[in-house]
Amino acid sequence: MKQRTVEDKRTIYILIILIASGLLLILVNNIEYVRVYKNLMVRVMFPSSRLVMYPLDKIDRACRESGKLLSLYSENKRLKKEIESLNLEYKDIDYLKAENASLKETMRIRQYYNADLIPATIISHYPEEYFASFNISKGKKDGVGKDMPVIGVIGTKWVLLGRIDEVYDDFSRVILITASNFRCAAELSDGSLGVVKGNNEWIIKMEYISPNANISKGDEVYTSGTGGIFPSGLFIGRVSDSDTLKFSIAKEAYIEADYYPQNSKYVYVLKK
Amino acid sequence: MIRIPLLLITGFIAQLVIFNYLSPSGLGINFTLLIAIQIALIRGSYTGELFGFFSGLIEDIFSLGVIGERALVRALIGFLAGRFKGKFAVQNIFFQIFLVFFIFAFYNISIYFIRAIFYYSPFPLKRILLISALNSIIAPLVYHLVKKASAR
Repeated sequence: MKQRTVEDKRTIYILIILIASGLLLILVNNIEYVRVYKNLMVRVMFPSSRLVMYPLDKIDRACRESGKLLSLYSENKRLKKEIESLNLEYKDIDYLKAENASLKETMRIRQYYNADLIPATIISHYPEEYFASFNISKGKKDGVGKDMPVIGVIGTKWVLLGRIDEVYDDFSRVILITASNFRCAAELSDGSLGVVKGNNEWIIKMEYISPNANISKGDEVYTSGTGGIFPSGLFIGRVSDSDTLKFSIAKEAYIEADYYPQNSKYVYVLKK
Repeated sequence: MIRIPLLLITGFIAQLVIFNYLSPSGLGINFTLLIAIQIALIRGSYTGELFGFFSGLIEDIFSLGVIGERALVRALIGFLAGRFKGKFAVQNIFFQIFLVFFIFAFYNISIYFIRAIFYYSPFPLKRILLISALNSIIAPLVYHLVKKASAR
């Protein structure tokens, strides 16, 4: 009984101390140095609290995000399908655009030369014959014949690429303007005539130009139409340099070709 | 003896990690207070007031609120609840629910008045009944849990 009274007293004393401490703590909450101490305590304790809460926050966020993800997944699937079908449509449109442009050019050239054009695809262009020749997809069956001019298009210009050298049933071999055995009658922009010769490089030579010719860098060179193989007005290239030969009265010019067959897919054979 | 501080820490972590999380519209389960009440009912006033004070103090620190308010009220609650030790049928579910309901109401009103007196933002009185009811329902479960955990 006595022990119980002692215990009760102890309990009451402790309670008084605790209540007093509690009250003191509440009262000193607003004192400045306690605030500093509190802030310090918070700074120490808060990260640990956040650390404990971290996994739960993550789970909560994951649950919310997974819901969003599910809807995003189905939306993504639908959009992917739409993109695929749109891509296919775009490809079709691009193809049709290219085809349309090519057909327009064909029409223009046909009207200009009053001749048929045979559109062809470059099917092979070997590195060993880079400046010499390439093969096209049209042959005897399509009406392609030997020495027919092969042309390409740059913007609105029709460019001479070469001529048909060998004809097979379904394909043909084209000799390029840059080939060393290529010859063609040409005309400078001032009307001076000459002969263009391939040189197995992008710079081709124009020879037998009149000594009175006024040649300057950048002058455009076209086919002259003489010789009977190539029609006049086909673009060949621009003058990059000119020279007067020491033991001859003629001048010669170096022409840079504008058209690179390796960048192209389609060419045209000008049917006579 | 080590079980009581362990229970305090475990209860606090559970409060922080689980019960604070499961509090829709702020109607949360005050697990640490429930433990404090049950500890007081099982162990008596001395342990109850100490447990209440320290569990309240830890929560005060972590809550970034008024330091000392929970500590003060819980120490008092621990003492008062401890007075019922051995006197009533503390294992009775209805007694548990009834007691916890009133203790929670007392706790929340006390916090309200402390905040009102010391010019801190007061506790919303409207929710006291709902919070007390919610916590009193799970009180018998916590009693058995604490009884097992604190068995000597």
